[in-house]
Amino acid sequence: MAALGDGDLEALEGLYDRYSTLVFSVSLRVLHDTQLAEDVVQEVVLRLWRQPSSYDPTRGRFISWLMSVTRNRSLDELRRVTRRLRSEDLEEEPGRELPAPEGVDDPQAGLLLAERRAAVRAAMTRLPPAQRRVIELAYFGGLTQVEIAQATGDPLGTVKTRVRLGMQKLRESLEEFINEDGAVDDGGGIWT
Amino acid sequence: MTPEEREELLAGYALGSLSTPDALDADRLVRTDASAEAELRAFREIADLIALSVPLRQADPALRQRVMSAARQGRVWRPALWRRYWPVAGLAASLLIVTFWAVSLQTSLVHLRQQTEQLSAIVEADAKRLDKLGDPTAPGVQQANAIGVPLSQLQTTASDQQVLIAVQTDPAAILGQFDTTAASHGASGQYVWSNNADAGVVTVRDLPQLPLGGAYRVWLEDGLSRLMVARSFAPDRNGKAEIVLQADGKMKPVRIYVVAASRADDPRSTGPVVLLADVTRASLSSTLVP
Repeated sequence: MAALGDGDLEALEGLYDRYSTLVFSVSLRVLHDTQLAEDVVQEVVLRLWRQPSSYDPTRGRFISWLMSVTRNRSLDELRRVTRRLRSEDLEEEPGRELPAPEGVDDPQAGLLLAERRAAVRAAMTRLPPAQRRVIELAYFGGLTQVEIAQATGDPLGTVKTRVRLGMQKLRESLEEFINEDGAVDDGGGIWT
Repeated sequence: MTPEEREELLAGYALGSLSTPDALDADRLVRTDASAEAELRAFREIADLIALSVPLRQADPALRQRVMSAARQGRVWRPALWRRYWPVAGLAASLLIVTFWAVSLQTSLVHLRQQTEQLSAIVEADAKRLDKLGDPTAPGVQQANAIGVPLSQLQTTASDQQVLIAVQTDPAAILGQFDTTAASHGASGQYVWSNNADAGVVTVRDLPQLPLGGAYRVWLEDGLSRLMVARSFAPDRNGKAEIVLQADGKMKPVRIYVVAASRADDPRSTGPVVLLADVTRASLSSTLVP
């Protein structure tokens, strides 16, 4: 991060090469629009370039911060264009899925990050579909629980229970990736 | 509150999926219960991991070159509008209407700016007459009428001026920063609050744009958890706004919330808490006037 502060373009290229695919993928999952997702990648990367201090290492790991910024910026864009698309209504996202085997040879994010991705994907897959759905609508769709209840036709209490149970199960499944102090361990690297 | 309800509240808060009343409850719980704060932190870490579940997609390889080029030139690359609004761009008739509307709006803004400048001159030149705004024969009111300023606008401006003066001259006024939330998205702000004047001023910046029809609201909460909508406002296009607040005298605010409401025309509509401030927290406060 200090190198970014010094205006080191090679550091920025390193950051881009390591994380841009992940940032793009998350943004695409929220926006379902390749062009808008690329805009978000550009904004997130240039924000770090212009203001490296926007990431505060004392408040958590870089990957957590980056995912949070990416999601929030994508949701802002989603609300701005008032595209409230929901995952169940969508065809496969545009773009080419990377052929690399998950968790073994991820060319963009590094082995440790890929392992975590594989673990999170597995944990999400193990959730009952109804629980996974409400969590994805909240996280990627930016919907409130009231809006989820309206969208799915389920009682609000049921939505709340599904969120709770789903988050509990994710917590149990992913416990090994959370340090004792609550910070997510993203496996070290230049940004931790 | 049962343990299950408590966990539902914290899990939903971590996901940013609570409506405003529930978010306020969650915030209150976290501030008063250390174990709840730890639980929320753990849920938030899980929420951040959810992003990693997406299948990887390849962006346009040319994007890397565009980003690096923009970084080298020290400027922000912005996508061409035609690409973002391509479906709309084909509606030439709508474009004409929008153009006409923009010209009209510009004219109105110029007129409004002139009125505001004249109004400010009136108020500044004759502060002693502010209490006479209800009198149609008062010189300041007659002058306002002459330039076409509605009396209600004059009274609001004058009232805000009085509040500002009262807050700024209160040696015990408190100055503090707003805390951010999961919905802040880079927004920040500060406040000045005078318990003696039951009033304050909030300054915010970088507020996220709201969908069409939405509005920001400032809520005040007292020690008995009673809430009062202090003011609705719309930030400028840079997300900046200054809001003058006046409590009703029946409540002593201990917290200030900036909330994104989904509907500007419905005072009951709620949304996420974007910024919050604990007026009583001494560690973040300092007196405004030594």
